[in-house]
This record gives sequence, C-alpha cells and structure tokens, in this order.
Amino acid sequence: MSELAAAFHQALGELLPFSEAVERAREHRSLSASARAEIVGMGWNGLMTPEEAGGLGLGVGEVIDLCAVAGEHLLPVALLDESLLLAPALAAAGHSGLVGVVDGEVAGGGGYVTEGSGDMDAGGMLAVSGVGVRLSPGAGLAALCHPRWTAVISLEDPGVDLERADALDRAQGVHVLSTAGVRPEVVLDGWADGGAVAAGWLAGLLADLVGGAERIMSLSVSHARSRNQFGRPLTRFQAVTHLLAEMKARLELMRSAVARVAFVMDEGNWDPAFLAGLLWSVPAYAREVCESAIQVHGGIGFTWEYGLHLYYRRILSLQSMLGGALNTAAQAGRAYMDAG
Amino acid sequence: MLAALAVRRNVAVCDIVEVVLQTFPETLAMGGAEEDLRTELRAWISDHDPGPPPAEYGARIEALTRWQAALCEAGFMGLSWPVRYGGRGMSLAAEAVLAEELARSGAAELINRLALYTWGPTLMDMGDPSQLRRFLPGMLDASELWCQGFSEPDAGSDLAGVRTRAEMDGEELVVTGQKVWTSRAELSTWNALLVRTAGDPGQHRGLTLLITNMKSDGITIRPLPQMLGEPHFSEVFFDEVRVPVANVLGGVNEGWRVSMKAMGYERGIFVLERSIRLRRRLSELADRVRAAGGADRAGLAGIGRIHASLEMLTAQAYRTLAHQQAGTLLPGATSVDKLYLAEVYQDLFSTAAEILGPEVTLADDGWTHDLLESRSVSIYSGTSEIQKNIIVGRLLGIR
Repeated sequence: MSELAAAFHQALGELLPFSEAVERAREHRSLSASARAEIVGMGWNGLMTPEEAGGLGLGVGEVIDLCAVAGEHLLPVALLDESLLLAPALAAAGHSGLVGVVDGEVAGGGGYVTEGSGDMDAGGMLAVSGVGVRLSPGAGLAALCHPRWTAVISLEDPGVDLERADALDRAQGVHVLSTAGVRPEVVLDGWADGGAVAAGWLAGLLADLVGGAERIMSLSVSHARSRNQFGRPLTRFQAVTHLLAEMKARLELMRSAVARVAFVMDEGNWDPAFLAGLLWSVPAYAREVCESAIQVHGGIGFTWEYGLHLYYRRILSLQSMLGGALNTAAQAGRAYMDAG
Repeated sequence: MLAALAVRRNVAVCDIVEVVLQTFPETLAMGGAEEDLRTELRAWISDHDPGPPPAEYGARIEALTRWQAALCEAGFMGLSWPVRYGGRGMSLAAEAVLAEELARSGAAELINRLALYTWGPTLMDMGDPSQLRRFLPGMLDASELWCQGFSEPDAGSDLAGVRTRAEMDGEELVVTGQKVWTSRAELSTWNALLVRTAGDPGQHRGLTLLITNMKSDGITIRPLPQMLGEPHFSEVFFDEVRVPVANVLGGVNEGWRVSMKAMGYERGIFVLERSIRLRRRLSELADRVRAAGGADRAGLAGIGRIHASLEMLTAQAYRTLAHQQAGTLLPGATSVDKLYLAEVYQDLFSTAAEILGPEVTLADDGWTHDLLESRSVSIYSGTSEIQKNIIVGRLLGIR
C-alpha cells in the first residue's frame, strides 16, 4: 500500500468509525457535512483531475489503492463518483463547474446507464429512464456513464426527474433518475470506445469492491478463529475452512485483475473487452465473498449491529447499478465477439 | 493530499504511515527487450511453424520433440536461464512472451516443459556443478525428456506416504517400489524420482530426490490408458534399480524440501500457457457461434463469463510471474492459480458444450476430447481440495 493510501486508511478510520456507519444506515443519514468537508479538504475530489486544473493528477494505479481504502471504510460511493467521474469529465471538457466540484462547494454524484435504459438522440438530447445514481446531499451535477458516452447533466434542469431510492443501499444517496429532453453540459467518449475518464472511474469502483472484500475476508477469518463449536474453533472444520479458501482465492483474483487493469490503463494500452469482463467478474466475486462471509459468521453475521450487511448492500447495489450479473456477462460476451 | 492528511493530524508525514495493509500486487511489465524478442519470435515462427501436430499419439510426440529441438537451435529455449547454463539470461517476462507467441503457432506445447520450467530451475538452485553439466543441455534441446515420479498407489495427495525405498549400497542407491500416474514415462530419459531412504510412510523426513535413468535395468513401464484413450501416463515398477549416489539432488533425506522447491516453480508459466491455450479455444468457440449466426443472451453471457475468467486467470499468472521474478512469491500463493485454472478449464468446455449443442459435442472432434480432459485438471498436480488446504494453511495462516 502506498504511503498515501496508508495515511488515508488511518484518517478514514477516525472519520468514519464503523459503528457510526451502522447507525447512519439505520437512520438513513448521509455522511455529516463536517466529515465530508474533511475528506474533500484532503483533496479527495481532485484525485484524477490534472494538476494544471487544480487536482492531484494521480494515475489509475495510484487511485485504486485509495479506492480500496474507501471501500474498506464504506466511504459513500457518491464521493468516488464525484472524484473519479464528475470532476475528470468537467476537467476534460474545460467546464467552469470544475473548481466548485474539486473544492467541494458544488456537490454531485454519478451513475451508470446500461444500454437498455436510455441514450442520447442525434440532436444530443438525453433521454434515460430508471437509472440508479448516487448523489451527495444537495447535489447540483451528476455524471452519467454509458458504454458509448459519458455525460454531465445539471440536476436543476427541468427535464430531470429524481426519486429517492435507498431500500437497498441506505445512506448512500441512491436515487432513480429519469430525464426527458435534457441537454448535457459535457459529453465525452464512453469506455467501450476507449474513453479514459469513464474507464478510470470504473477501475476505481472495482477497487472499492476489492477493499470491501478484503475487510470481509479478515472479519471472517477472525470470527472462524475465535468462535468455538463442539469444543473447537470453526477453523478446525474443513467445511468452513474450504469456504474461507474459496473466498481468499476470489479475493486474490480480484486484486490481480484490478491491479492489471490499472496498469494497462496507465500504460495507455487497455482493451475495452478486458474492462467489460471485469465489470462482470469483480462484482460477482465480491458478492460471492460476502455471501460466504455471512454463511461463515452464522447468526451474528445476519445481525444489523455486526454490519456485514453494509458491505453486502454496497456490493449488491454496485452490481445491480452496473446492470446486474447477467447483463454484464452478456455485455462482456458481446464486447469479446465484437473485438474478435 | 498526504500533506493535507499530515496537517490535519498535526504530525509529520512519516509519523502517520505506520499501518501496513494489503496493497495491489505487482503485475508483469514487458519492456523493450521483451518486445524485441516478440518481434524476433513472431518472424521466426511464421517461417518455421510446423502446424498442428498429428492426432496420433506417437507421431504427435515425435513432432513436438522436433519442434522443441528447432526452437532450441534458434536460441529460444531457456530464455530465462542464465547464459552460463545455455540460456539467454532474460526475465520471466521473456518466457511469457514465448508462451504467448507459441500459442499463435500450430504447436503451442513444449514437450519438455517439465524439465524447462520445473526441474531445470530446481537443479540450478540445488544441484552440484557436475549435475548441472550433465542434465541441463538435454533439457533445452529435448534430447532427454523428463518425467516426475511422485505419486504412488498409497501416496497421491498425501505425498509423504511414499513407500518406494532406496537402500545405500556403496556408491549406488538401490530402488524398489512402484510409482503411478507418471506422465510420459515411456518417452523419458530421466525421472525426478521421490524415494524413501529413511523413516516410515507418512513422514516428510527421510525422502530423497533421485534423478533416475528410465532406461536402467529393473524398470518396467505399464501404460494406463486414460479415459481419453491415450497412453499418457503409466505405472512404473522398480525392481532393485541401481542409481548412482551422484544423482541425488539436494542431499540424501532432503527430498521433501527439494520437492516443495520444485512445486513452487511448477505453476507460473504453466498456468499462463494453459490460459493462452484456453483463450484460443474460446476464440474458436466464438468463430463457431458467429458462423451459426450469433448467440442468444444466455450464450453471450456464457462467452462473456469465460472471457472474463480467462482475463482474471491471465492477470493472476502475470502477477505470479512478476513475484517469481522479484523473489517475492509467497509460499502457497500459486494454489490460487491452480485452483482457478481447474475451475475455468471445466467451465469453458461445459459452456462450449451447452452453446454448441449435440451436433458438435457428440462428434469425434476436439471439443469432446477437451470436455473429458477438463476433469483431470482439478486432480493432477494437487487436487482442488489440496489447493484449498494449502490456501487455508499458507495464505490464511490457519493451522
């Protein structure tokens, strides 16, 4: 882990205590304004914004370490959307809204538009329906990522319809967005056409899942070591240890793949079909890890207080907002067939 | 950002970095030397590609042996071996380039890969100078093929159960016992043979690794046809076979340590090679699907899942090679590679059978062969259950 990520890990440990995250989710409360201000004050919102535009200009390889820390500490995903998608998109377009986002004065968010949930028409007007987006409180701008385009829209536009939808991922600011006749502020290439902004953001979300899975793994191993049944610890039961081994294998594969995708992105030599594959596999494996973790924990893992559900909700919501397992697998298949 | 973090806590930057967490792992970087090699290999292979080897087993082995000899003659064997041992002194990334470029040819397989990637490196670590002089050259040009004599009727996954005994008699060891599942026993000159020189079956101590000439008196090889109908592996019987003490690798009673070292070398390139071979099969599957007018959503999802899994497997293999290269590979780490290889292998051919349907899978073609063969992958070289035990013990530290 880089120095930066280790320091960030310590800072988030203090700013976002786990017990507080459990309470916030129970009460549907967003991150406090002061905690948000501290995180933005560290430069979080400018991670991938070029230095000349006032950001830190980090590469994907550096950013994934920080995103894994974010996932481990359950940093609201909207902050990843602001930092890794919204701000870089504004920067790429030279949009005047960038400064406000990097400084944290303008809140925002973002989401993924699957191919079935809308598109941009020939005149550049956006019509989407039922798209899940994560928004920080008071968000004014949202970045949307479709395989073929990346766009930023103003949420003040009269054609925007937003409905709060936090049944699954509470306290994450999830909304369902529909638009009719909205002209985006910014339009860039989509990741399927090599758009680097969208690709960097997706790599960050995948790294977030890796960080969460690492935390879940270590909780599970600790639990299995300390919990006794039939007079011996759970780690003496092969049925349990083989579940742990499968989880560990999935986790290591996720880490290898996300490190690889970040490396090739920083080399400027990445293949959209590779990324398409990871949009299926990384969320699917994170989900497997978490489901096995709940099983290994038994009853305690199913309680609200223990909090495994916060990771599970985050994984399910990320997977579903990317289109779900079947859609992402089919999309990867199509990308593979098209590339061949 | 780091400065902001330090200011926030009112401490020096170095003071706040005390937590060591998992970081994202290394991955294999191909530099200029590797890319030059790729160009050189691509040109050479396009001039010399022998095409797919014959289907008949004996003819296939002969063709593959000639192919490796030709590659050696052209200077492409032992790329990562030191120059003093007949190699080119390049990185493991060069071996990855070789594997990738060979996969584009008709004959991706190196017949003596067990020697090149497992026993050659182990010899370089643990062998004495005369052993290096004697054994290394024949590995490179495939003039002396190698097999490995580990498994026995009562020592499969439980390797410490080895009963084949060797008794010291002057300057020789006299071997008596039986091995099983020995791949290519009848073709090999040398067998990396694990025997018991002390202790009782079940003990790790008292094992010795003995480089045994397969043409010695007292060896009987009985092929065991596999479910594929090929004589790929054999039972090998040893009846007072005399092996010079000079052929002991790593010391008498040090066989467990030698075997573990060898197994550490076994996986990196092997998994990459397999992943490339599977990529080729996926590409053939995609061609068939295109020719049939495309796939439905479930078919596309199947192809997408396999494609993604192969990308994960390749990323994992690149990581392993990068860590092998840097000397930072954790003990037990390659069990993840092997476990996942088996999963992806089996998933690919089952999915292909589903997508292609009976017309193809009932035909006597490569798909049927590979579907059957895929069941062996979760058994050979340590079953999937053994890999999980290793992950639990070595990677999770649970004893």
